[in-house]
Amino acid sequence: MIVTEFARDQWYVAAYGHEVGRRQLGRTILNEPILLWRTEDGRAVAMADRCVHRRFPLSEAPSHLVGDRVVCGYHGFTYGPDGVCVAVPAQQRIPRTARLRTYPVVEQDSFVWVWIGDREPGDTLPPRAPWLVSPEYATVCGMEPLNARYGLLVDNLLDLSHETYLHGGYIGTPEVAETPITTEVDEDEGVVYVSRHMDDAACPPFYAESTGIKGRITRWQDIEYHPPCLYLLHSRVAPVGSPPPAADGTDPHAFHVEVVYAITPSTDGSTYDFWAVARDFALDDEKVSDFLRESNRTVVLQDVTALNTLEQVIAAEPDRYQELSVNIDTGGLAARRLLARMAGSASSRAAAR
Amino acid sequence: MSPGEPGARTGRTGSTGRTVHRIRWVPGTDRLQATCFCGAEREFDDPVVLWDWLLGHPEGHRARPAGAENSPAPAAALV
Repeated sequence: MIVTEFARDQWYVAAYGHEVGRRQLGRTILNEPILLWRTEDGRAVAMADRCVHRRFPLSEAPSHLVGDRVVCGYHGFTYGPDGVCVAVPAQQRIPRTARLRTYPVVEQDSFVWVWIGDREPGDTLPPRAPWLVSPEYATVCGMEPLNARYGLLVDNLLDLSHETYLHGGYIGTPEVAETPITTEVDEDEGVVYVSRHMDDAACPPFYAESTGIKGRITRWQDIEYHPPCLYLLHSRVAPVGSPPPAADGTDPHAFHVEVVYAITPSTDGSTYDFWAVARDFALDDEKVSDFLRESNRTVVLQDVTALNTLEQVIAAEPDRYQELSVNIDTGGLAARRLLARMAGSASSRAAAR
Repeated sequence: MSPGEPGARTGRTGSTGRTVHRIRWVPGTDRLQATCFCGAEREFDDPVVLWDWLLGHPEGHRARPAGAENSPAPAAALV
């Protein structure tokens, strides 16, 4: 079954770093309304997005920032970056309970990660996506809100055979659905790997236009899913007949695209679909950047449309609706189980169904 | 595993844990070959039944002779 419980005590991407500034940003993560903003010295902070007084959202105008303080736009309750209330209208005494919950924040690889849970993260850090800030890569990115439970996006991304049907003319070709996969689950690290290597495939427009390859390609898709939030697709394309990567890891005959998704549950039935495409070629070519940005956004919106529809269908069905899983779902089933385990589900084994 | 084979490294980091499950789609067939972390192997034509078997370790698992594969067998079973 699709996992619907949330995994708490985990890092989630709340925003891109460039979205968080001197204007408040409101995001709902795991059903918790969170306010994001930046102090005058540039530090990103996250706190509850509800005034303790009458619950007015601090992300909504006329709430505003004054220096390193947030002023509620309803009655003027004022908070510091540590969540402590420092001013209450018309009285000197500030109630001891006038304090907003704050959330641990890590800025890493262009993302603002927020820890959602009941214990502190300790030494636990978010997984990495270093390509997004590497000078050796050029990156385009975006975020599309999804009106569907996060498990549907996990299913979608763990089984790329859907590219052939849902994304034909962009990234899908017949070979994607036709080529068998290998799946690996590292139980200790909590990572799912799914690989599909196509030896001789048509080059879809997404890669033909961006790389300039005219003929058929060798196309590798190596997925690395770090549940609950980070999904990496290591994509390698090269003209058929090109040498494989060298033993030392260099691979000068191929084009590499790192496709990164952050799957952040917002509410029970909605999800933030963060996406980024980092390439190691045509680094300064704005036309290639524009093309990949538009193409990938189109592909993401195709998923959004399909999954929004699917959410409505599933939500209207009985809880124990019947599914059928086949070979292409092997990785998705593994992801479901890891997510159920992280969410503390009584039967994570049942999630692999 | 050599470059070009499914699972060969691109930008991915690769498994580092001791408890790794591997599922290979047997070429030219509709069969899936599951390899448990304990070294036991079995073929399936249904991924749900396959996962039931993998997660049911050690029930029905018989590791291959020592040295047949470099999969160490951890002391504890998975939840």
